[in-house]
Amino acid sequence: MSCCKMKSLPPTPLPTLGCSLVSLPLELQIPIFAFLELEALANLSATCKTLHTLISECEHIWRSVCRARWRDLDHFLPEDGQGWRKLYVRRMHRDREITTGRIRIGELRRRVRAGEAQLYHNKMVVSGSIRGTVLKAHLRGGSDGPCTTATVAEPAAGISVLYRGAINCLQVHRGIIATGWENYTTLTSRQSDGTIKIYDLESLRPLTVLSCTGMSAVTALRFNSRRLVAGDKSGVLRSWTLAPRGEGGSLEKVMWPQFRRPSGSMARNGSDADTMILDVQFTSTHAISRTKDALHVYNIQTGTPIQILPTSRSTRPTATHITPTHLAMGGSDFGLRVYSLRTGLRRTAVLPHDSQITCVQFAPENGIMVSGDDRGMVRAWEIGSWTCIGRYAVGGSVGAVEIRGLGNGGGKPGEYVIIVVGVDGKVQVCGNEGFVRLAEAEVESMEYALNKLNSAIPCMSVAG
Amino acid sequence: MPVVLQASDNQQFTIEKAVAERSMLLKNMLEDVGEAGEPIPLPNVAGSILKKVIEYCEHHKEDPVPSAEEDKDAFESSRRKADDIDEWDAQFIKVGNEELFEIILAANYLDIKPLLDLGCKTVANMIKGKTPEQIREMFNIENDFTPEEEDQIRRENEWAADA
Repeated sequence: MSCCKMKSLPPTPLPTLGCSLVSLPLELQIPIFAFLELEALANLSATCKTLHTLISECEHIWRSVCRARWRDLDHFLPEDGQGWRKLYVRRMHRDREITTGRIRIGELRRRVRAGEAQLYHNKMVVSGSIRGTVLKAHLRGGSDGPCTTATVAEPAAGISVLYRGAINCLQVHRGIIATGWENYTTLTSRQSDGTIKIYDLESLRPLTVLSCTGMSAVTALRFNSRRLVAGDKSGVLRSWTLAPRGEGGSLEKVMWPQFRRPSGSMARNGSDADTMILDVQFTSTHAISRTKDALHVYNIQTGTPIQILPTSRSTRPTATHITPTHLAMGGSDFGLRVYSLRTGLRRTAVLPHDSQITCVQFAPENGIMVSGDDRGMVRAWEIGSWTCIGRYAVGGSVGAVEIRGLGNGGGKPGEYVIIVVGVDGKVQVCGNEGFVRLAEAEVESMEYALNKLNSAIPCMSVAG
Repeated sequence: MPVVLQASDNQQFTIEKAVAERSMLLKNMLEDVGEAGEPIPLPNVAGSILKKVIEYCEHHKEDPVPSAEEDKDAFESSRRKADDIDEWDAQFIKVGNEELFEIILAANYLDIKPLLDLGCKTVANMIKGKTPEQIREMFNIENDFTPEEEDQIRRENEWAADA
């Protein structure tokens, strides 16, 4: 009887036992897969040919995955012939770069308290010196675009105490801005506490406040799609897992610095200036925090300390950059140390500068590492052989360096430019052919420098 | 005014109009036919599944109806999260794989967006955090890759793992 009933069923067959996920109509598979993140999609696509083809070719799925992850997708529509899947992959890579130091570009490097700036998608985001209850963010458009000023109203404070504080550090990324605060609480409390506040970049609407008992003023932070790591004034590093699009976060690990054994009977006095974290970077395996005296390396998964660098106590770290495979640290003895992270933490080279190293940046895709120093000398090193393949001199002390590959932008593969930001506010762009200057601009119009740089790229590929 | 539904196996269910109207398909049908009172045949849905679907609609009959605009854009909606499933819904959808897929197909056919969503989320949650082998086992998928192809896919997917 029931067998006859089954035969009278309509054209759309009900799925047979077990293999239903594969035989489900496409219009039902898409909404299911749209709920999955990259890792699950990758695992699913590795199960059989049908799903592999479907997942790698279905633009709907990738668009939906992109939309779920980033707030600012409108700025990042796929270029011609690229598609959403490529866009996703590209941005995931970018996310990783940013967690390991790449936000340096556009940052004025005058130390945090006076305000910080970051270049974000050809917009300059500046935080003023903030006191009281509002954060001002200036978003500048293109080279002569209008400068809009927006004001962030504080999220309504639960208690009637007027919220007072200052922003020590910020980062803009994937459509959200994260700010590290020092809260001015009562006059009697000796240590001020800190919070991290995350806003939507376009509307400047508050999204999340991350706080933690015992956290002092936040002095450095970095985040990517999944994680935010912040260091505070007392030298403690904390990591949060972030909900997609910055809407919430939960404390993941607290990383306590391992202080070196005091020499003799002299105990460390632990003043703020000694313990304050100046820089934070992380990869999927490591987190590092730099203070005035030492570079602390942690396992980010377990939160346990791995090592304190440099091993010699007479040397202080002045600049650092970490990638999944390497760690570079400039020391106050003018030596640039390179460590391999492939098997534990092993020093592979010490490279000489003749003044204090102020910045260092890896560009693994170009096979180089670039470092700048206090006397204005920028050096490019080949990763692996660690030989100096180029030098470029700027007028004053170097504040920050950035490397842009031109392989995807019309230039030849292997071509790149180095962007040098001086502490005097000048930006220079230098090409890899002979390390000569291609463009120059004041930092106030950094976007102009980049526009100029971008227009220089086609010429370069023709001339080169 | 009660509505009578007839499943593929001729089982009949008498339900309130408000319950039936959770289904956009039925809502439109009822508007067209008026108050005829004839059983509505649903040849695509088996009685056991229709019973489940009605149980869902009964529980959710008070919910606000999503606006057409929202509905249209629901697939694009960025607010979609797989883990925010209501407690009652979570209990309701605790069914075998076969039944789950039949509910999804029925929800799609009857055009009950929230139930379709619930089903899709549930399947997505079953996939999450599993290795390809575990997924194959769970959904009875046959591995038709050659060892070489499998190896290549594993390499392709490596970078996705620690994102």
